Amino acid sequence: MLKEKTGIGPGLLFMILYATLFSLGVMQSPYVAAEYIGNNGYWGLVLAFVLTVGLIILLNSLGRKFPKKSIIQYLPVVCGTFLGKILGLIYLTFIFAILILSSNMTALQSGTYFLFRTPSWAIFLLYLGVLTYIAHQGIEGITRLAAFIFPVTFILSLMAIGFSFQSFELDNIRPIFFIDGLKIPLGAVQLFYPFFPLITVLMIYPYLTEKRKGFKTILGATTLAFFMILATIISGIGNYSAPGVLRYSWPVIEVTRKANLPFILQSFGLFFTVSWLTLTLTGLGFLYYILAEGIAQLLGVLNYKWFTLILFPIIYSGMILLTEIIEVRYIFSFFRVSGFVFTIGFLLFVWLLAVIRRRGGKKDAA
Amino acid sequence: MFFDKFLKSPKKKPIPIKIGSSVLKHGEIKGSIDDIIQVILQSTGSPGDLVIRRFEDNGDTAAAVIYLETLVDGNLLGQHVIEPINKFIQEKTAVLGASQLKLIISASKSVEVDNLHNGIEKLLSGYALVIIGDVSIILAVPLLSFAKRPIEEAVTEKTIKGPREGFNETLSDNISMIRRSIKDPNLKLEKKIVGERTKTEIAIIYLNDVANPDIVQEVHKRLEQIKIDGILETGYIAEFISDRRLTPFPLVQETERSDKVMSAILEGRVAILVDRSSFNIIVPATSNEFYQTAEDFYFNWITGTALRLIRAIGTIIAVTLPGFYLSMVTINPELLPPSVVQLEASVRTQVPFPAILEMGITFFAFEVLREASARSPVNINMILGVGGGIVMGLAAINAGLVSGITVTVVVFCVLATFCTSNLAKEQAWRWIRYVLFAAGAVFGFIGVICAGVLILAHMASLKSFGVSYLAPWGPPIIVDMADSPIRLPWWLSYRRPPTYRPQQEDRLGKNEGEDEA
Repeated sequence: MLKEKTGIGPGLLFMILYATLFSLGVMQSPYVAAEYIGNNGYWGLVLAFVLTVGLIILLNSLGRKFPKKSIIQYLPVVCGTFLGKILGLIYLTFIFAILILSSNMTALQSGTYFLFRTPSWAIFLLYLGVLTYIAHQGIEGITRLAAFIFPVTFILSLMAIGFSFQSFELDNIRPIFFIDGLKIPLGAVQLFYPFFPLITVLMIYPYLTEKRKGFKTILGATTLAFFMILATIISGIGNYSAPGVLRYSWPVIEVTRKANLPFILQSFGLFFTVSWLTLTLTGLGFLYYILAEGIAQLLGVLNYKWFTLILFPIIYSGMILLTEIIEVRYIFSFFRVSGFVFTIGFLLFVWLLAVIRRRGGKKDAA
Repeated sequence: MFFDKFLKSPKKKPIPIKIGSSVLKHGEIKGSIDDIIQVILQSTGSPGDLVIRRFEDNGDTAAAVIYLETLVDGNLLGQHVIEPINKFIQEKTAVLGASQLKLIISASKSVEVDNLHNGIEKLLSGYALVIIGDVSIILAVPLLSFAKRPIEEAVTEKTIKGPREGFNETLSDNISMIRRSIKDPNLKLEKKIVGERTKTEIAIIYLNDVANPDIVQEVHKRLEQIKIDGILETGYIAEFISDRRLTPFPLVQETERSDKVMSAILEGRVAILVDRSSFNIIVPATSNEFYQTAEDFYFNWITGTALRLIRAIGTIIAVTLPGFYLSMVTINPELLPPSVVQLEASVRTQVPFPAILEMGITFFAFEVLREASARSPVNINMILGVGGGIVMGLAAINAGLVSGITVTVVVFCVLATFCTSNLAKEQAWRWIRYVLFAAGAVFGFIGVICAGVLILAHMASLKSFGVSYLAPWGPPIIVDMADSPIRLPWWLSYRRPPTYRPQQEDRLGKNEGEDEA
């Protein structure tokens, strides 16, 4: 066979990160912003983004230290074999949690709107089947899929969010500069969750072909996703005000339904949903792949393709259990805070340990 | 791993095919003329069209000419072989030996056969074998003559503007068409024989200083791996050399148009011409290529762009509309505007079947009509079109078996499928449409999206000779992206598509190719 290139360029990295960050972050953020901050909830996301820049610097620094290794491979080098394996397991558990929660919420929400007579187990089966297939295609297939859908989904999302400002009222997002104690910083912690998937970069950094463009690419994708989510929050609150947003379980769909082109298109809601679902499936498929690849590397047996199959019943059971036992929205708020602590803490810990123990660089590059 | 066994091409194991008789195991040329003739007769089974012409000199056989009269041009044989040998024997200036034979046979391209295996192969390929008395030499003289189709317009890829030259089934004619247009010393042509019994001739054509050497090497490698008794059409080769076997999508481009092949060669791609087939192969092939026609480049670039957009939109509609329509009629009517819901509801009350059955029956009827008309004579086609399409359709609507809306959707989809300018790609979409249709019927709107993403994920995993099938969109290659929905004007198309990683990126210069993003 012709030697295949097993690498992804900056363009592909940009698109897969954008797809994952935007799709997993956009749907809940207006609700979270309205719930924890209020009418000026958008500041929470801005603050979260500022923190994210620091996170990206750390991610890139770790990537440069170990350019040919994934986090699972270099954790034992940095922390010792035992602790490294444990930390690797924790890292993968976190990815697993994001995957389960996001898949569950996506499936349930879309089921509520479009398949209200279909039992949730059937919807989960459908979603997970698609995710497994996407994950099975590997990093190149997934990133190419993200790149292919990017132009259309981006334009449709942009139009839907842009036109949703038709009923925007400035009063609804006021008072703009009102600082109500610790509301904004605490809200920022809650609104940091769209940037959780950034830690997947630690797994795919070795595949990046042009590592010198790593920082710019990650920052670019994050910034684009940030602006799109910010616009959605502003539009959501601007259309309905914070208390109004809290009335809807899926405020973004309500906002995009308001967007229309008179006499041409009655509502952008449908197109936005198509774009969002496509991006979400791609993003979740990517997380699934990361999980499968990570486990394969951690255990050192089989390859990720096997683990996409082995993980299927586990993820499926997780999704079902989550639905039957716990109120997802309720635990999601705890997950957002713990995820924030983990993301920042884990990265800082690994980075500091690598610096203190002088691990990484040329010595560990290979 | 597990899926690989089913989804990816396994390492091609050669299929052992035994040919030849035991007499010719080593194929040495030894014995008298009669011995050699005897071996040839045994090996070929003394076919009825085998002619053996002996030349006597003083009662001994001085030479013999063996040929198949159905393959050899009689006039040429007389003029270049029989007459010179006769003349030489009658003049009796010397004994007819190897050196004299080579001198007197005036046909060009005569080759000396060193082995009887090769001799019989040549005999079956339209050569006349000349054997001389001492059997020191067998000369094979090419005199092939057969009926062939003239160069006509490509049936499956007609154009309004542009050359009318389509390939025919004769390899030499097809090569000459390309040679006549690309007068470049770097145009490289390599021939191969594939098919143990058919010995089908294949020509690999590319620009030596432009085409990516890795791709050329891979083409050779894959062609060498083909083990089959016969190649009767390009489709055989296409299936053998494709990167993935379990996919409905064509991973090589087949075309009947010579200008398309020439354009591909100029872009740095590799053409594979197959004897006895008017369809020839271009590799690598991305999905994008199947939506470009030769006409795009002959019309004004604005018209070319508009045509491309219509083709792309038409294909999207053809593939997704049945699924979306069914999902919105059966599961998600809330997604339709109220006026359409009212109309649909009123129509549905008149139809006895559920929407899925009604649409399924309508599609099946159209598929039957299509299949029936595809291989029917033109005058019967008219009857099928009028009788089957119009009369039957109207009768079904009037009888209340199907609704007018359903027939409209189905007919529009069937017509829109033909927007894909390539037959193989059109066939792929034709069947994939039913996947989306089934997904829409079971899971509604969500099902169609999930199935759509699944198909895109499958396409994203495909490669054609190492080039991503979704290029230039995935991975993004900006230069080519511009020339994808838009037909770039010629004054801006100074670069070859980087997608195919050509050695010279600039059409006139010597820049090095660049990698995928």
